Amino acid sequence: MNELSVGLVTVVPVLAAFILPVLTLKFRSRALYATITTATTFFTVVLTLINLLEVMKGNILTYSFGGWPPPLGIVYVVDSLNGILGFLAATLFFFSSLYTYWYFNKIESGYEWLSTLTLLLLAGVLGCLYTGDLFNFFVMLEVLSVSSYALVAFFRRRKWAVEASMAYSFIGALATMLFFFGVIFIYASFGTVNIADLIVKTHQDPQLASKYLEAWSGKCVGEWCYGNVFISSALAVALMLWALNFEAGVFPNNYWMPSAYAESPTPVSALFAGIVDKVGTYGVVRLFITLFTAYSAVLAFPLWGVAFRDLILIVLSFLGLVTGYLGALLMFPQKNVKRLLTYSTISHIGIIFTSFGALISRVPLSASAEALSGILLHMITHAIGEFTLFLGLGTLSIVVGSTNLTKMQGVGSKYPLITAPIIIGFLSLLGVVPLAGFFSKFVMFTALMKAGLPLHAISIVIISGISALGYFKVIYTLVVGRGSEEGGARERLLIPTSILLILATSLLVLGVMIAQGAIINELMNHAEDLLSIDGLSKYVNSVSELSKILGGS
Amino acid sequence: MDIELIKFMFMLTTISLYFNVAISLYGVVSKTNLVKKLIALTIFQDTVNMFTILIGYKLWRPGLLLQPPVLTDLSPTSETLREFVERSVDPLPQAFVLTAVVIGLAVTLFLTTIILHVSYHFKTVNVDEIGRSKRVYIHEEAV
Repeated sequence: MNELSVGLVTVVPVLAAFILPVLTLKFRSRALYATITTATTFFTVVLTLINLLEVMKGNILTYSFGGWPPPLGIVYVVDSLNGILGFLAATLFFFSSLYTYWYFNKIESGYEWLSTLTLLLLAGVLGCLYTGDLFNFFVMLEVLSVSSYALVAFFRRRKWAVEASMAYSFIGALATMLFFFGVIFIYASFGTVNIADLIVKTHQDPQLASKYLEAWSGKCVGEWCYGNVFISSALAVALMLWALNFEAGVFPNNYWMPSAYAESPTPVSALFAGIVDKVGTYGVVRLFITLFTAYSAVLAFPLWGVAFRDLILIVLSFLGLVTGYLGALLMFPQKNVKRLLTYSTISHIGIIFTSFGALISRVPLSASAEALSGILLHMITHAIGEFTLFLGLGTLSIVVGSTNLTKMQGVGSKYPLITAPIIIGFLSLLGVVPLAGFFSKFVMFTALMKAGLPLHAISIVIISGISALGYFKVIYTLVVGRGSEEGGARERLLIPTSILLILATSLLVLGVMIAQGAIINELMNHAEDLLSIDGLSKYVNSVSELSKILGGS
Repeated sequence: MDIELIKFMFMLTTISLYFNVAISLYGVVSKTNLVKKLIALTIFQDTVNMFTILIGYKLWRPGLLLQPPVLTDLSPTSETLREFVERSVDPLPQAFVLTAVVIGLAVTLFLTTIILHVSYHFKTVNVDEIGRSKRVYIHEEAV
């Protein structure tokens, strides 16, 4: 059915982002721009919450733009995977725009552009998450990346911010263009870019057949559609995967992350670490659990004795291991606190990618579902934890006037209400028991054990152990280190303090709720639904139903 | 025209486009001058767009009516529509390319601006020199 709450999610931020530059002609008030951003993001929070509640009941929401029947026009499809991530994204953007009430007073100029670009970033993130169309995914990926290039270069008078943006944008432009190249291969062979229609064509399962979708884009038989499906899918996956890995920051493609995250404004780097890098991860997950699944024959041809899809997932999990160790090892020597947090983000992305090893076809469905729910849960806990840390340590570094750890010695004891959430965030990322971060790591650990990958599972523990060194170094510097006493009067940090307290409490509450077991079971059911062929059939049927209503039978 | 000749030309175009992709990727990765990198990147974008247009290509066969793919009736019957579909090419790749070209414009504009700012700050557009000064900066920060 056409749900307005799905369609408006990207339209509203884009409209607000286009209105803001017009307002700059007349108004110069910092609070006004912060208010508009907050109001817009609050509206998207409400919309995504409506979607989330509906999706959690097991329904799938769809929205077709312009009233075109699905394989022809752009369609947004929300299932439990992107419903949860969409709500997470909107919430983090809401907190980040609340933070700008305080942050805008700390920057000289450009606050109106920071608001505009943040709203565009929100539209890009939500568009990438909600879309049910590969070409639209490319367009939204470009919206996301162009606004993030500009956000990295926000302090354009700083030499290294410009350099970081340059390093990010050149290869980023190449990566997104390669994604487009991949989409073109998909279109050339399948004759469609709609994900639901692609599911029908990659699986060729009678349970998934839909005569309403086939009426528009034809039927595939064997490996022959409009072109050779096997070759072009392999090529397209290769091209698209590079772009997604670049956005996620997996090992060979993470060279841009430390500089870019460290040089961008604090609320933006919190968003980057919180949700923007999850978009790439989400893309990879969507590619392998919805499009080219274990049931499909398309990527099942053997290469070195393993099915090609499994080989890709094994390589991805290996790259995840390398990323995890690299991030954890490089974290300790860092002096710049934002750079240190970025390496922590890299190591957590590595842990998430490590769990992809449990999604291969020989692993039983229950273990795969556990791995998927672990991946989803870790995306949530890591997003909240890292967001808290970036906001908290960013606030302290603004107060001190430097991101260098040696200059931040002892600030923590001066601002205890900011330091407490920071410590909770670190402990959650580390995986200390009552906090949410422990449970996500634990679920991934048991899933990898069940999948017969004990080395991967133990690596998660070792990576956490190595990163503990970096985390405790920061905590020690903040709390125990002796600072210069002449620091002057304490600043009033009402807004950042309250946001941080809310986030830290949510980590604690989430952890306690998971410990009671309700959330984990719910997630496991949804993950099983996403991975099973019945779930795929539900996805196809919801889009097919829309096609039937809009296109006539 | 001979059908074999057309097939040969089609093949030649495809191969040359692949060749173009390879050369432009080499240019983006290996050139040290940022402006040259940008030029290689635009060549890559244009090649991908060309490739997309090529997907909508329709092979001419002897006996096919050579007329422009335009509907002349305001209220077409199913007969004229069928004939129209015979003549016309796939319009969707062209829509893709239009979108991609506009996006490419935004990206190219951004990259041009950032190169300008890089040259203000570093007084050079050579990535090797910038990388060298960055290593010095990172080292100073860490020590």
